[in-house]
Amino acid sequence: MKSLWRFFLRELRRIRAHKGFLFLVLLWPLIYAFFFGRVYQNRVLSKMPMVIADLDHSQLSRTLIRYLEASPSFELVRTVENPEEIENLIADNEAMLGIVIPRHLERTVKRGRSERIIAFVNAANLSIGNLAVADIRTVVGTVSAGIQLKYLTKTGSSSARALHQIQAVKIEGARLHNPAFSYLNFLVPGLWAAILHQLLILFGALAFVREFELGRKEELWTLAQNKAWTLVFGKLLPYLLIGLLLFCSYFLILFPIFDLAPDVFLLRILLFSTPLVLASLAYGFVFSVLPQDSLGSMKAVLLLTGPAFTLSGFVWPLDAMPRPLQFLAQMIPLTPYVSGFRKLIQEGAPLASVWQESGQLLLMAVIALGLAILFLHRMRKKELSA
Amino acid sequence: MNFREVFANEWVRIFRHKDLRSLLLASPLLYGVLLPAVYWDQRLSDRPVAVLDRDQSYLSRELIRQLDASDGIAIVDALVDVKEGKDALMRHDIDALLTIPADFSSNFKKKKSAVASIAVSSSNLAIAGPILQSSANVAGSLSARVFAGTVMARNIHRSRAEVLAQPLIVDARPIYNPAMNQSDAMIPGLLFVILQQVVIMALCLIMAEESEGHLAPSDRSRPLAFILGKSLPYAAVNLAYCVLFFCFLLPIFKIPFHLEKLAPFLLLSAAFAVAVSLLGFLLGQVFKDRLTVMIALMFYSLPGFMASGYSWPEFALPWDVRIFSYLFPITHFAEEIRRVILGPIGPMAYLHSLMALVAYAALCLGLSSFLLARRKERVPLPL
Repeated sequence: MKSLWRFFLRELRRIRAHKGFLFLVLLWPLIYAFFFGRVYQNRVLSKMPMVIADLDHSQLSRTLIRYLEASPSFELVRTVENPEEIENLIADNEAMLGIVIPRHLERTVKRGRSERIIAFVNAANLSIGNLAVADIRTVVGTVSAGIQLKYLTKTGSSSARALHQIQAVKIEGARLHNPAFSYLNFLVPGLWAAILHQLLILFGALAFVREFELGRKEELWTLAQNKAWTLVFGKLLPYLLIGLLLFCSYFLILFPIFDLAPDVFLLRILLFSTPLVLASLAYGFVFSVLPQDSLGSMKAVLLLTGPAFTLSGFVWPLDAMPRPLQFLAQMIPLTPYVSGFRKLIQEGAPLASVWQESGQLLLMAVIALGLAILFLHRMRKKELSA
Repeated sequence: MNFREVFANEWVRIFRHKDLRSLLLASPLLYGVLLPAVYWDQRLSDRPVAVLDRDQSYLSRELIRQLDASDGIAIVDALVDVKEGKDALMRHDIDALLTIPADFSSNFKKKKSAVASIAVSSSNLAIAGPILQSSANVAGSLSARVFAGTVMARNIHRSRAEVLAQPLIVDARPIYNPAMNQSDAMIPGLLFVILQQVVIMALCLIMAEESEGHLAPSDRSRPLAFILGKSLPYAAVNLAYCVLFFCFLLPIFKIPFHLEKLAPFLLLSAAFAVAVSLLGFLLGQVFKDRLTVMIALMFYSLPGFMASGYSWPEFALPWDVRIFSYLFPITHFAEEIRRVILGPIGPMAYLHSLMALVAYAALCLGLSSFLLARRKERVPLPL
């Protein structure tokens, strides 16, 4: 115990002595995470620049334009006379969508024929494409329903009956957990988890190799009384504490700033995050012990953390990925963590519902810590026999 | 040393230096295949949905059948109570739960709207979007059929009744990405982010290695020759990868390859490659050792990508993030190159991007020259 305590104090002194490292440990995680929150601070896409070519200039076309303008998703930036201009404006990035209201729209509808409203949408960006198509359909559907209602009431149906006839079957969508479809709520907690995952692996990776490079190997072994497990746990405890403090600072500072997960219970999240901190640090330790120098360690960190967020299944579900990638993703601590994190943070699930993810993280931590101890033990044995 | 000598020396270094070779020549290929492979299915379809059918009528079965036949939804389970459904949702065994109430068909017969509900977890918008879209489409088409039937009962011809059921039709024409594939939208950006990261890191690492004294320092007597001679080989590697990705990798991921786009693609990619390399050179002067390079640049690519306007559009970014995003070459390139690859790009957007990249490269060149000159002034004269 005494050795562990000595290690603990020594590590804190080491962090304090290096200003760059102190910044990396204390301030950088907050600044970096704040930036990602700021990117999505507007939460939903609104006021997408829209152009309209109204070739009809009728009461019906004006009604349609009024409805489109009233939608919070769109902002009418220009009206054009030539529909070909619309595609050019989208190609030149001046508009994200364009509506063509055909000539004789009102006359055609009055004659009892249907008419097409052409909607050009920039679908290169799917956040824009999906929302624009869905909202245009809603607006046109509403105007369409108005026309049907008029027809039915004219031909003798009561308003109530006509309404049934227009919308005979309805599926009401109940949007659980993120009813506003906020991108901030959807993406940012996962990005923050990815940041902490990356930082913790980095801290772990710098734990041994840097000290060995600076010629402090003997000092470390003496302090650990030549026991590999003392060395590993001596290094683990301070960073475990730092990791948990970082999680606390995220939940106590960043989550309230961006008004995310106000009802979340801190202790529950900390309990679930502890295995991630352990697993990430343990992975870092393996990267710190295996390569010959700190550059090799950093390469390993980059190799693992670079694709971690994309592979984690946080945005693109794991079951939609090819099997080898699913397998690879399950080797990265971030993958089970974001799965459980989403359940706890966004879906309000109880702690018991993430036992599988916690178990997987703990298993990763145990295996990686075991490997780190084994490698250090063999390294010391070789050194002593030499 | 003149430009040619510095340029040639740097090429030799790229091919002889083991670490540089693996970083610059192998890692773009590794990540270029690994990350886009995530989107191999192109778009999310047939998401698992469970049904709680309390009505068990012809109408409810028809609704279920149509939902199952839709692109976004696959009915995977029939449940008997809500708790079961809630638990399955919580466990993420299903993405949504469709509940059809007991009075669904009786309401319909009583000439009231038959209302079902679909509970979908919108904690992942990529999943929730297609499910809600599919259910809205199915409800709309069923309602239209009912409407047409009602009108036909008034002795109106079927074709006329069908028209009346849908007086206005949205003819949605998604430009660039007609199938609305996630792969088409994401892969080009991912590939160029990888290239940006790799090139900047490679150049910074090699310059830091020179600063550390592990490599013979390049001759800096002619600043312009030094900057360009050192950066341009990396720009050439970057450009070569752009061409490789465009001609071979994108078609593998089912993103169409059109030869006529090669010229505009090459021009824009060349500007990007030069801008990225000059940024790499500029940053390379700031870092003193390789460890700092690796740690600092670990945090470079993700914010650059997020703020570039590629996934979250520029008009929706807060002003400060928008200004900050201009510091990354990918901001002036990603959206435009996606348009070059996927469809028509307007001359204004293309020129805007090209000029921004040229200006960016010029700025990096100017700043690098300034830093080099200042450093030269600071070197103490020998006694």
